[in-house]
Amino acid sequence: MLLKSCLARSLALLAVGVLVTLMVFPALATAQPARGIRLLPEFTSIVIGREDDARLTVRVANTGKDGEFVDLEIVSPPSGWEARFSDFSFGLRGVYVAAGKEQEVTFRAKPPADAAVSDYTFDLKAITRDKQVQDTLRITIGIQAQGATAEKVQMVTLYPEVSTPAGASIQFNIDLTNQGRTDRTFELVVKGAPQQWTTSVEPAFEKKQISTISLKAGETKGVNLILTPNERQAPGDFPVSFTARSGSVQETLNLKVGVTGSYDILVTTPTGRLNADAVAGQESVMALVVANIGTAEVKGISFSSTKPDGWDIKFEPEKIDTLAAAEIREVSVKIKAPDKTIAGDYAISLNALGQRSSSTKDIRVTVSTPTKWGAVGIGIVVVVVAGLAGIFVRLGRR
Amino acid sequence: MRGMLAVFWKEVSDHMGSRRFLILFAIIGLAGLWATYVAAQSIRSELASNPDSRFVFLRVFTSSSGLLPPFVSFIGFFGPLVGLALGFDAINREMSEGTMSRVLSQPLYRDSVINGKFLAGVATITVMLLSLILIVSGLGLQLIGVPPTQEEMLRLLLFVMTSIIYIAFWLGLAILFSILFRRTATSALGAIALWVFLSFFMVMIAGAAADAAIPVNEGSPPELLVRNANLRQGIMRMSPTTLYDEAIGTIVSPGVRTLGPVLVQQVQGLIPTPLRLSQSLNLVWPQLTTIVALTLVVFAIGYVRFMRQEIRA
Repeated sequence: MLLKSCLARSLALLAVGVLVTLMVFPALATAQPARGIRLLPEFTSIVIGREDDARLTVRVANTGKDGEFVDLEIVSPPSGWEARFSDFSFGLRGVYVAAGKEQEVTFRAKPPADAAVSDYTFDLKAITRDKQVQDTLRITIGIQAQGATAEKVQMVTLYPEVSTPAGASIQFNIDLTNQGRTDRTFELVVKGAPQQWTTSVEPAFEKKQISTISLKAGETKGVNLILTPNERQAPGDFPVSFTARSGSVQETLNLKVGVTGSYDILVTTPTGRLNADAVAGQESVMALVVANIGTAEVKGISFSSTKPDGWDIKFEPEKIDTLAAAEIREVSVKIKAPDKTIAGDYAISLNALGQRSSSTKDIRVTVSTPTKWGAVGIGIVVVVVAGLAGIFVRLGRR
Repeated sequence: MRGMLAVFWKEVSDHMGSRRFLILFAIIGLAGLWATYVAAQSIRSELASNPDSRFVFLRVFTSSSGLLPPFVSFIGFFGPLVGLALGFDAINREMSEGTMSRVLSQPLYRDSVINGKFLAGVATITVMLLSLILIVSGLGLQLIGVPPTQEEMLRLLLFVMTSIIYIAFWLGLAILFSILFRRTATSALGAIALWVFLSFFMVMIAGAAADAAIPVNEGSPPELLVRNANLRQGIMRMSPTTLYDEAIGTIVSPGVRTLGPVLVQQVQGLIPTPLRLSQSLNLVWPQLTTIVALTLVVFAIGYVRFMRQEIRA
């Protein structure tokens, strides 16, 4: 009987304890709140140009255990601004968010044309259809004086100043970037190059001449501006401008081409004959021509020769002080081979050495020996024949 | 003149018919042709590797094949022998046989005899040389197929003329000996001895004399070496053989630029090209005139001796 009453008392105590516990900690029965929504931004503060649209992605999160119909609104946007939520193509006023899921929406804000340079705040509000649960998000949009991303074309080249000798071509590698938001075709114009030069614009890595180039919004393409100064271009600096133009959008790149003078002289003979005749021990004269085939004046041209021992080679005049570009001057060369020269061909070279340029010509000189002893030989034979004739006359006919 | 022509034609027909002449002609002809044939073979292969070389045709006469000397050397060697063979008994055999007094008893001037004999010898030599050269040229044309240029023909003509005059010198010398010596054997031996001396011993004597006068060794300064060489060459040039060799070597080899020793300074800048004919001639003009003068002088001495000789039956 005692045991029975004990058990009954224990059960009663347990039941009371459970009841008390349930009353004190009701949360144990429901671990999450029944409903909750959040607005989660990607950026909270951005800066745009006056002409730009602000676009921001905002996520609507449902933290509750049931799906929620959420209305979206912008609380008192700054005056003049067009602010709205949108998907890719349409405006948005409400979304459905499943339990524990998120929904991305885009917040767009377009400032008025005369928007002052300042910071503008936008309060975004998400509220359930039954107005029970809500969340707000504050976003700041700053307006910059200059549009950070205006309709614009950018041109960049690594080496805007290049030097070249006359006649050789140079190439400017230019990167064009359409920084605007629209696709455009740009007209490419080169100005400032002298008329005799050859000018061409080619796409990078392609061999064709172009005068326009199409660039999609944000696209970058490379073009090569190729300039060839004509052969006889006098040295100097030549500014050249390269313009890309599409409607009101244009950009000019100022380049500079330095043409360096070429120093080049040539020694040759007026007839092109590269051999000369000479008699041993006698002076013979041959004509030589020095031409400046460069584009710059060559100063202080002196002459020398490579010759066998004992030979005497003189130049008249001995020096040319200045030889202008494309000028030709005749020089006479006096060649004297020594008396004892063996008859035949000899190689000599005649050199002209000017400042920064020199030229040499190999000449073959055919040396003959003088024939004065030949007459002596004939004389001896004549004397002998005369002697024989004398003997014939004295002793013959006997 | 008619008398001289009679002697001339008789002598020419004697020469052409004599066994002595035929044997010599056969020797020279066969040796020369064989040398040419062998040389042409090597020229042909040489030509295939170097087709733009100049004076190809002349090489038929100047190329040696290693075994045989070139054609011009055969002429230089055997030519004097032909001259000697044609002349060594020209006068003294007629004397000893007693035909000379019989000839001179004809209505005939005495100088017609010696003139006719000398000219007949020259004519025989000319015929022989010309025919040989033509045969060899024909053979050369056949073998290498390159026709001679104008300058090559001129050089060949000069070679023939010089050789005729040179052989005529030995003919004149032989006739002189046949006048000086009564016995044909003596005159033949004397002439051959002189030929051997001038052709072979002169080289040794010149070398020995030059070394004695200007001793040199390998370490001698170049000036001394040049003087020694010049002296030796000067002594050798006393021999008509040397003169002829130098003259012919220059005429048929256009590449020959100089005959004496050459200092290094002189060849600076020198391009090995052939000389023009006029320059080649200029180079050996002394040799040529000396050969002509020697021939005339030797003949003149023989002429004078013959005209003054006592001729008895």
